[in-house]
Formats: sequence, C-alpha cells, structure tokens
Amino acid sequence: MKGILLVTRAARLGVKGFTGFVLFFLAIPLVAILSDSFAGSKAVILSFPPKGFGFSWYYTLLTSPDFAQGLWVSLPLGVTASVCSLLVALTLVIALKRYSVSGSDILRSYALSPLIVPEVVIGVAMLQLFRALGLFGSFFALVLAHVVITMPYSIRILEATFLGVDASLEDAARTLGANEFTVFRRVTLPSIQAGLVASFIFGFVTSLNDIAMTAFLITPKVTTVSMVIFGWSTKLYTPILAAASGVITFATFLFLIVLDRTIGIDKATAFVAYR
Amino acid sequence: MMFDSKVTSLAEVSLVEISKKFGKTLAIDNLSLEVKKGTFFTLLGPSGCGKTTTLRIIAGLLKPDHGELYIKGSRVTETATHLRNIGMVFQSYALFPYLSVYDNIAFGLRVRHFPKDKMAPLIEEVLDTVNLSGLENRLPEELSGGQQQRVALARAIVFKPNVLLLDEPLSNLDLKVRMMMRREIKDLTKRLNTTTINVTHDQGEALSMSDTIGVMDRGRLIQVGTPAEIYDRPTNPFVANFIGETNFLEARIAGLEEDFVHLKVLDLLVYAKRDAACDKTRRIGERVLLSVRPEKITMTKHKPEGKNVFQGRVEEADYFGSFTKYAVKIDEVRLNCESNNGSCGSVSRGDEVYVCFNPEDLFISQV
Repeated sequence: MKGILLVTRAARLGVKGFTGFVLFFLAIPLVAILSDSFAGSKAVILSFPPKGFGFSWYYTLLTSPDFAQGLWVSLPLGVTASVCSLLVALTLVIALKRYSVSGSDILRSYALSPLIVPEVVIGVAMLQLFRALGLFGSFFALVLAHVVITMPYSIRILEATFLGVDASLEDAARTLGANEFTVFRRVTLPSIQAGLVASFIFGFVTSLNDIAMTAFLITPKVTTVSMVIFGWSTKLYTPILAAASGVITFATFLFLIVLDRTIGIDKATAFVAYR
Repeated sequence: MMFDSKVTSLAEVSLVEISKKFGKTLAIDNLSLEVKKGTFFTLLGPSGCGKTTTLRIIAGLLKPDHGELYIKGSRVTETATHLRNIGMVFQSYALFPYLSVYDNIAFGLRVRHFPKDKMAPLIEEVLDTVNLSGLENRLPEELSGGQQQRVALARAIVFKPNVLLLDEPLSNLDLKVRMMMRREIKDLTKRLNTTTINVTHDQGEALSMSDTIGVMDRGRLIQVGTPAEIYDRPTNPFVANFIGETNFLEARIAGLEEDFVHLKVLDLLVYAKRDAACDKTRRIGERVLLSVRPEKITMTKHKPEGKNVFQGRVEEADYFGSFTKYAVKIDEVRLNCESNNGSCGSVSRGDEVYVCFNPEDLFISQV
C-alpha cells in the first residue's frame, strides 16, 4: 500500500516537473531573444545576458537595405496571397455550404491537401513548375505558391464561420424579395465579416512566416523578410537577429490585438482548431 | 395558358401532384391542394409528415421533383423565391439581428425600391397593426418572444404579399402569449383578407385558427375540410386519432338497413348511421374499426330512451376542473367518456351508469 502511494507521488512529481520544464522552454528563449534585441551597439554577437542596452540593433535592422527589400516583397505578397485565397475559399465554401454543388467536396479535399503534403515537396514541385513556365523568380510565382499554402486556413476558417450563419436569415431575405446578390451583400456578408478578418490575418501571417516552401522559390532580388532573417542566421550571428525577432513578435502581437478587438481571440483560435 | 386550365379561378395557391424526395425518403407524395383567396389554411400533421417541406416548396426555398405550383393563376414552379411576392414567418422568426425593428420591416420595401417618402407612414401603420408602435428603434434581441413574432409578422405583410406563409410561428411562445397571438394573427389575416397557409403540429391551434385544415401524414394529404368536418367526420383513423381523443373499437358488420349499419362489438350490438360516402362498399361480416369521441358519449344514472344505450360501471374518474374524464367498462368493452362538470349529477368511481351515444356520432373505418 505504502509502495503504491510512493509510486503515485513520484509519478505526480515527475509529471509536474516535466510540465514545468516544457513551460520553461516555452518562455525562456523568447525572454532571452527579446532582451538580447535591446543589447548595446558594442555587443557584436548574440549572447545572453545581453551586453549593454539600447535600440541600436533595431536601428541597424530597420535601416538595413536587405530587410527593407524583404519587407517590400513580403507585405504585398502576404496581402495579395491571403486576399486571393480568401476569395477562392469563399466561393468554394459557398458552393459547398449553400448550393451543394456536385464535386465541391472533392475540390475541398483537394484544396486542403497542402496541409498533408510536406512543404519541402511543394517547394520542389513549384520550383520545377515555375522554371518550366518561365515564371521562376517572379513575384507572381510567389503569390501563386503562397495562395496554395494559405488556402487550407482560409477554407477552414470560412467553413467554421458559415456554421454560425443562420441559413433561415438568408431564406427570410429571399422571401422578402431579395435576389441572390442582395442576400449575399445584405445578409451573408454581415454575418461572416469576423471570419473574413480572421481568414485574412491567418493567411497573411502564414505567408509572412513561411520558410520551407519559400526557400525554393526566392532569388537574391526577390526574397521575403523571413528568408532574409534566415539568411542572416547562417552568416552574421549578431543581435540584429534578436531585433528582427522582436519586430516580428511585436507585429504578431499587434495582429492578435486587432483580432481580439474585431472578433475575439477565443473565436479566432476556435476557427483554426475546427476541422 | 394551357397549364392554367387545370386551376380554378378562385384558387390563390394551387399545388398539382407535387412530389419531393430527400435522398431515398419520399417527403411529399403526389400532393395536390388548392387554397382559395382570403382563406386561412392550415397544414396539420405530426413532425416529419412533410408539412414544412410543402410550405418551403410554396415559398420556392425547395424545388419539387415533380408537379406544378400556381400562385394567382400563374405557374411559378421554377420562379425564384424573391419574385413570388410571398410573406413568410419562420419558426425562429429569422429577424436580422443587426437591424432595428424599423429596418427589419423596411427590408422588403427597400428591395422593391418602394418610394422613400411613403415608407415611414406605411411602416408606422403596420407597427400599429401589430401593436408595436414606439419600438421601431429597438434591436430584435431587446424584444420579448411575442414582440419578435409581431415584428416577423409585420415584416412579412408590409409589402402586401400574394400569400402569407407561417411556419409553426407560435411554437416558441409560452402558453398565454400563444393563445393571444392565435387570435391576433387570425384577426389580422381576416382584416387584411390575406390568403394564409399555416403549418403546425398543434391540433388546438389548427382547429381554432383555420378556415380549412389539411391533415398530412407521411408526405400525403389525407383529408381537407373545415375544422368541424375534420373533427366530427374524419375519413380516416389517423385523422380521428391525431385530432382530439377518440375511442377505437374493433367491430364486425352484422347487418345493413336503409339508414343504419348494425355492428357487433364483442357481444354488444351498436347502431351506426349509414353514410353514403363511408359505407357503400361495406359487406356483412366485414371487420371494421369503429370510433366515437369521448365527449359524444353521455352518461346517466337512469336508463335513457333511444339506440346505443348500454349499462356499465365507472372504473376511473379523473377531474380536470371544467370537465371530468371517465373510463366506463361495459362487459369487456372499455369506453373513455368526458362530461362537463355541472351539467349532469356527480358520478364517481364504482357507480353503475348508462352510457349512450347517437348513431350519427359513430365513425366507421378500415381495420
């Protein structure tokens, strides 16, 4: 009896210890990198604790031509790709949820397939395709590729959104004399606004963060900000990396605040958790 | 015009041989129906009988697999919902949650490009009609169930639709409000002379509100008639059983007279009025189902004159305030009776009584 008690106590202690360990590693690297981003200008290597204090590495980052070039690609890329995938996903989900168009469920599985195909494989395949088409190295090619990887998120978020739309409201509008376009504009659209915002933000963040697939498609001239940072990590191991991490973390934070203000963070994460 | 020849000029809404399948289930089975102008028509039936499907087909929210639909004499089978000029009240009311009462009601007028200067007085008038004056700026969530129901009604009638469709509009209301709304909706549709098609599973609602009732079961329209016809002369055991309570007795036809049918219920001889529609194919020896409404059976302590008088013993007496329900056993036959309290002397459990019913109040159907 006493032996069993001891074993359970040990097991509990073990579980607690492991949980603490995981939580520790969740937060500590972030704390380290963020504090390092405020290192003084004399700190030439990424190290913890940081040497000195200042905003010089942020200044270096934001004035870096590489970083600016990356942003100049990443921002329009993220916006275009997520808007495109949003529009395609919206028509697909409407076909699926409202008109039960034959074959739309097959199209759905097809559009969701990038979730199960490794991104590296997609990257190699896209590389070959764009070379064959003569599109390699173009902004347009990056947009197409990013639409493919953001599409699954848009579809899932919009599907979850449509679950919450009361179809009898659309029917009511029809009986009141509204044609299909008016029904969409006056009834459906106001009910799915939150999902559209969530879909756009998740698409944008997915595009902004992507490394694995994008790595195959960039050239020195057309490259994304994530790839620029990734490139630095292999060449210059300075606190500029920490500053870049800081900028991205703060930007993501800003997005989450926008998300929370528009639809609420719980609802937004529920969209992604939904399958 | 060739199609229109099938339709009588009085019918505001006509369904001709409509069928609808969901997968392999036949939801509506060759249903034909005519609703005359200004009529309050109710489709009554248990859940899953196809009544809401029928209503949605009339609205154009569902397409029938077969059959034709006419509104005001013109064929609308393929016409889109928004071109049918119908008003519909949904079970959930389906009010636009982000629009005020005023904007909800104005929705149908705005999509019709109704002149702006005439809109406000019209909406004021309809709000007055449904007793909602002063609430035009509220949002639906700020209203009670009964008030939301009135907004839904106002929204559906403001543009003077050809036909008003009601999809179980009272089922989400509590009893008192429901009773009040029954009367209000009935009065309103009569005042505006609106052709109305109502769907319900509540027999009390159907009987009290309707000019005509159509009883549905498993996708088929079984009987159409006035509330009194449906209640007093059901042509089918399903109708007799679904609407009100009834006693079912297994019987055998023992003889046929000019005016009466003689039936044997175990050892009792019962006389039923011979009805041309019902009994012309009956033969002696045939087994049938006999039914009689509990309130058509009178109970007395002294033996009355007339046909169908039997002596029995009161086995149960359940008091319901204004009336009492009794179970009387006559030999091996058990009959449920109902009598208004105060009309006849008190009868209690164990009493010997005479029960009596008119041959006209009996109804014979197939086993």
